[in-house]
Amino acid sequence: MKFLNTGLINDLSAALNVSSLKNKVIAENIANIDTPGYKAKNIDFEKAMQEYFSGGQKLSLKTTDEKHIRGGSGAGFVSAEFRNSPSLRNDGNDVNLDLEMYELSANGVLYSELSQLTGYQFTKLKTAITGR
Amino acid sequence: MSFFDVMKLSATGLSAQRIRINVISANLANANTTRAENGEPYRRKDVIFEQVLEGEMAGGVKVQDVIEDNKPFVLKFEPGHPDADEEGYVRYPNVNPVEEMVNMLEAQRSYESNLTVLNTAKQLALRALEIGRA
Repeated sequence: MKFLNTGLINDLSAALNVSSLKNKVIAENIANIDTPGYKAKNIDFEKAMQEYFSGGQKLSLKTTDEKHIRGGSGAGFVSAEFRNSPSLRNDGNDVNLDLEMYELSANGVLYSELSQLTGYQFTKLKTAITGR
Repeated sequence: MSFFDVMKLSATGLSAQRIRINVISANLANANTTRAENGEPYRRKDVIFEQVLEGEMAGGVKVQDVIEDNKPFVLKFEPGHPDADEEGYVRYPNVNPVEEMVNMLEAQRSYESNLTVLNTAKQLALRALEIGRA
């Protein structure tokens, strides 16, 4: 199955993974918008992808022991960081709703873009197979 | 799998905000209740939210507790009222309708934000399904 394992499809699926994890982090921030003391988290898409490319383009789960199973398509290179934005609220919560909503829609567009590109790769393969 | 997690996560936000709105409506409905269960005037209630931690990144939010507000009751001079004390003052609940309305708007907006996230997650999941369709 060499042709299915082309680098681009792998890269795109890694990017899709990062994007969906980012969606999750945004959802968590918004769900906790009224939780006292909650600190907003963020996944930097570009940084995560840089880490992915610098890591020999291999997707692996983060493991704490050599004997642990390494997943084939996990996203172990992604880690969420605290935003550390200044909080103006008395309860110490620093979720910025406008920023999160912007991130949400930007990430949604990015995800659609990536999924279309991935679909296009498969269309190309199909064209190569059927000749039509 | 991940998208269902996101949808579940947003759903925890939706239910927490809904509980908050329930409490606010109870406060407003009882804004003039001078006799609650224990014979005292009604005490304003408030919700405490808490983050739910599941693993490194998943989670959500839940209502950890519903607490009673210890602000003093409002005294009104109404000698004809059956609950008036010897000096003619009636203790009314410590509910401030303006505060409750502001709280309600905030809860409503938070609910809408969670709903937007849920819908986005749904759209992304459907978008992912279209990858193979060409």
